[in-house]
Amino acid sequence: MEAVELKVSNKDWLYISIIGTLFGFFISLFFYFLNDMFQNASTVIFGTFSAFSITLFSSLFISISNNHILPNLDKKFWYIISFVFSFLSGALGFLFSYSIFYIIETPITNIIEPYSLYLTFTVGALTFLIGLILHQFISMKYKNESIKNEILNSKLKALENELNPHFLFNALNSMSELVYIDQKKAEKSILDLSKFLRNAIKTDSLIDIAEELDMVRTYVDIENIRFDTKIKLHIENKNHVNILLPKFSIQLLVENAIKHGFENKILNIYITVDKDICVSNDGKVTKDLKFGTGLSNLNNRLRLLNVGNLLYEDKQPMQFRIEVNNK
Amino acid sequence: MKILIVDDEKLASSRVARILNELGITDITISNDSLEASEYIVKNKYDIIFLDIQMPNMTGLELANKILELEPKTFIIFQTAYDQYAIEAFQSGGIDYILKPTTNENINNALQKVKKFLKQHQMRFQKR
Repeated sequence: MEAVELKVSNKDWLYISIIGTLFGFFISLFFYFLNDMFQNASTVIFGTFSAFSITLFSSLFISISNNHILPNLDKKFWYIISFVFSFLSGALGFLFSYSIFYIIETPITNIIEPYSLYLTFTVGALTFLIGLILHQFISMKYKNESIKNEILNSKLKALENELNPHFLFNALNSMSELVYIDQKKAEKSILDLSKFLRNAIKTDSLIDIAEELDMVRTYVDIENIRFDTKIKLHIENKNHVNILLPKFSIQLLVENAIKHGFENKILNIYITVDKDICVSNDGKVTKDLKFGTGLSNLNNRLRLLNVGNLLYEDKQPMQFRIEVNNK
Repeated sequence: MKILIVDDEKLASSRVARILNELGITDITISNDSLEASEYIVKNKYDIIFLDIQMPNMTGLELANKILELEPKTFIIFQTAYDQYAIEAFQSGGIDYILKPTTNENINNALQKVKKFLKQHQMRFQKR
């Protein structure tokens, strides 16, 4: 139903008017050559003007319908209203043109006068059918545009979420103190962070699983400075085929596990790579989990890059699964 | 001046303690667990409490409410890596909001704020 509420831009209306008028011109030309009695300039002028008039009525009716009628009606009536209005655009557009030509007494109106009512109905029905085709056409165009926008937005969001700045500030805070306590450890953590940041600023959207897992290890090493080595990472890679993943996808699930699962005691995080990728932990279980910004962003990136889907498996321990498409 | 530092990260809490030591403050208690800290505040009175916000079991904002219910005169200084909790933190009664990484300067500024607040209140009291 949502396609009915499409807004037709002024540019689209200009194209529709030009195409509609040309359509009327050629149809009238067709009739002009079809029979001797139509071989009059008024046939072509009337046909062209009628088509132009129909597009004007369509523009008027669709604008009124979209701006004033549809927003106040239940969606189940939208199609009926649109059908009625497209029919009326054709019928009234034709009648308007016919009335003008009738008043100025042109030869064509004299010929079609006995059939004017049938013709009005037929033109209305034709306009409805053409409107239906145009509707499909414009809705396809809008769908394409919205997909493009979604990709762009997801890319932007992905960039925004690739590196959680809070993680960075917390890590830097801990490192600043570690310098006073254990200089060797502080040096290692600074080098880890620099390695992590180097990967973060890489422009590739997809990276291979080995690289992602390496980044996860570095990430957990950095987090362990803060959490006193209470985060234990267990990685099992059973897959021998290389999987390409959006950058930071497993890292985000590990970050999520620490953020929501850590209870100031040992937190085991298990990553199993087989045909799919599972990330689970034995920490605090979140009830009624909802995909927040980070998880939704990851799911979008997985879908947009045609890698797979993110699933949450409602069991203990907390488990997320990246369902990979090409296994 | 009796101070309590509550932060689930050991390095973060020891950083605040070290900076306070450098500023000449020595009566410092550290807690790395918000539940444990909530027991401390029942048994002891603290002049200033440094609170982290994102902590397991009980957040710093929840703990602040509990502290001020028990002892409204306590000064709470929040310290966190998140800037989005600032309004909530001040609404909870915090006197300052420090963004990590914590520095000598921002801890000193927070302490100056406490001193200024106390001075103003003393002056008002004397005027009455």
